[in-house]
Amino acid sequence: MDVFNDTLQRIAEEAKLRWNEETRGSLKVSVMGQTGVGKSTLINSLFDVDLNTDPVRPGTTKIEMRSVEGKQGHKILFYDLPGIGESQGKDEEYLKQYKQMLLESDVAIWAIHADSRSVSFDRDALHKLLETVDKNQQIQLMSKIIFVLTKVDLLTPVLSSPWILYKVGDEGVFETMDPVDLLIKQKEQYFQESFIKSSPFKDLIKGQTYCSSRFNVREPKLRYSRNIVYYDGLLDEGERNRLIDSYRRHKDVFKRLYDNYRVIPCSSRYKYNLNLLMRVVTDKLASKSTGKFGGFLTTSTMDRVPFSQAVRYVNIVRVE
Amino acid sequence: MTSYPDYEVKDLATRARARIEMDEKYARETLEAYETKRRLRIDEIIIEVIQNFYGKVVYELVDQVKKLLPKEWF
Repeated sequence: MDVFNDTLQRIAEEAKLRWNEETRGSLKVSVMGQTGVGKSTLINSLFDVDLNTDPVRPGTTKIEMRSVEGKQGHKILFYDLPGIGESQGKDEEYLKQYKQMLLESDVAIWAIHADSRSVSFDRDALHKLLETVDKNQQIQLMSKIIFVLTKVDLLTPVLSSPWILYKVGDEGVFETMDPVDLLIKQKEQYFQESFIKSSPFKDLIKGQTYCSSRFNVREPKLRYSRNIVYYDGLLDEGERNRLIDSYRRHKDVFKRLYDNYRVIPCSSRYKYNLNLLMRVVTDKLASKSTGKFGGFLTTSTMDRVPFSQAVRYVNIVRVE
Repeated sequence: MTSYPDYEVKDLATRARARIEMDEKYARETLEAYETKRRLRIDEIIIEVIQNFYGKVVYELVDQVKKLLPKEWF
């Protein structure tokens, strides 16, 4: 019995060592996107780090790798993957490198400027990237990449529509009014259609989210294993609503699964939707990345802007 | 009560409070998602360590058993 207990003790010690080692690793975050979409600013807001936000030289396609320490001493390795399209010859070389970076990353974000009217540049790059990898890697990439619409605070609908700035103590929270809200939703749908719904790779996506309670749903595309619910293929709005109507007690699970397939509209400046983005990042995280990710989680929400700073922004209506 | 284009201030406040509640829900869900994955990962590590450990034990036992068998077998 002593030998057995000693063995258990050794196994527990080894497991502890392994976990501690994983928590000390650098979190690899790749962000793909054109110059000026706000990649560094987005990472700063999301992980509470301080990456230099000087714009990269316009037109550059050089991969930048930066290491930065978070508030709790954990490290992020940030791969800045600028947009491609300078020349076909060079693009192929860059795509090879981007593909490797995205596959190796714990978190992969594809950032698109909300005010961009053309998606062909990014969409072609995504397709080229996926065409050059095998099916397993296509599944991995399509399931891992999070599409983000940046700088939604710069969207201006035809009707004048300010943002609401709501005072909470010394801080402010931004919220949209209907015209901006509608415009954001239209943009989100447009980009979701372009990048995900019309993609020839859409059926390869595997969505996933946690479910703490017992999940006894029998549906062909749904699987459940050890508190994680998986969905194979594209979960669109119609199917999400059907699942919610059929299994109401799991409505939050289906909503979270659906968010895996969204293009998340965000504003780093207004701290808008960063909580949603962080939840999607966490949901999509591979379990082996969990250790290094923990150091960047906060127990508070990420939607607050110092009020003294927020009131300096234009086109807002203050509410207390 | 002041209004801005077509909105009453109290409606705007209600809307902003709903946003705050939603953000708080997302933040809670983030922590729940993380905790679920953390537990899952620790389970995986324990399984890997046990497999690794007993794998070594099995090979060691195989070597010891071989010594007890006729030499011409090997």
